[in-house]
Amino acid sequence: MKKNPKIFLSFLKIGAFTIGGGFVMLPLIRQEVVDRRKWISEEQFMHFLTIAQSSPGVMAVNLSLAIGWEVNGFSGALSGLLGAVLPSFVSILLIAMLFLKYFESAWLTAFFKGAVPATSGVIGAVVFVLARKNLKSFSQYAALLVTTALLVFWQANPVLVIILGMVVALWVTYRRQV
Amino acid sequence: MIFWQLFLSFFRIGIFSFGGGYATIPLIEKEIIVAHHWLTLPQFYQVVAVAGMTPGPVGINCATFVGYRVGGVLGSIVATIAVVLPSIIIVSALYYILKKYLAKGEESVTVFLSAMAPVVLSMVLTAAISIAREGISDFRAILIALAAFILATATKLNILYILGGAGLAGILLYK
Repeated sequence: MKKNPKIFLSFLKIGAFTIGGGFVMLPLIRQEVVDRRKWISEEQFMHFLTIAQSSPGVMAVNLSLAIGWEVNGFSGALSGLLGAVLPSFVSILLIAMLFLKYFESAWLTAFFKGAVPATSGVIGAVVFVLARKNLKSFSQYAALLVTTALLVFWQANPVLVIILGMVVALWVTYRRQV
Repeated sequence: MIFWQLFLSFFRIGIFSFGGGYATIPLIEKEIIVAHHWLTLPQFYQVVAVAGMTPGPVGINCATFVGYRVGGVLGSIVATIAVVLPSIIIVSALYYILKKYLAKGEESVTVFLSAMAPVVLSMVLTAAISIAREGISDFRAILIALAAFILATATKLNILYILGGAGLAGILLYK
């Protein structure tokens, strides 16, 4: 199969089966593009995740664009984007058109009562895997704990946290060069 | 012109929403309810709840739903394209810059990226924590979350199967 359909199908599959927003897609995207397809390395995944988080917009869409770029240039980026967006677009359109009430069923509620805790588990796992591979120093782990505390306990604005992170990262880079 | 307004609103959401997922909801709320009255507040929260139960990113779900309510199928296409357009431009630019500096073998880029890594990971960790706070209500749920964490780190099991299995466990335990 050509590369673009492969990229499209990979993201389509992930987009179609992950319920609960973009962060749920993250562990699946990592498993698909790093472990299974071996399109990019763990380190590159971390780079693209940084791009995705530093850009505005929908995080999972940003990530699909950056990975698509790496695998097959601009057409690859558009293939990834289309795959990530299409399931969401189609399912919402159907719900809006047909007013399906399936999301009020007791079976589905019970399903989500089990699936949602697992979601937090697999997202936690992707942090664990990426940290083990990409964080090498004590100060990086300390920074992870401090920023997480800022976000969780003080509900710090994510934009400010990203900007603060960039300022600190620039300072670290500058000091390393002097 | 309604399509142009839809386009502008969701383009703005695409440019100014940072942090991903539910962090973008206050901004969407401002554009859709305060600025344009396209939905009422209860309607909006229903959309957010539905968005959480349908596939894909919440931002896309909101754009598609509101676009359809305001301007039919064409409206949903316009809103969805508008919300991803800033991403295409900005991510492509950042990707290009990253590639250029990495190709030059500039060590400073690697240092910068490794200094940013903890911040980026803290955002993901925060997502996991807030989902856990919302979704974990009893001891059984804690066990499910722990089992999912261990399976996802220690085995190569497809993560979809982990999530699906947890859903089935939910039906057995809570139905």
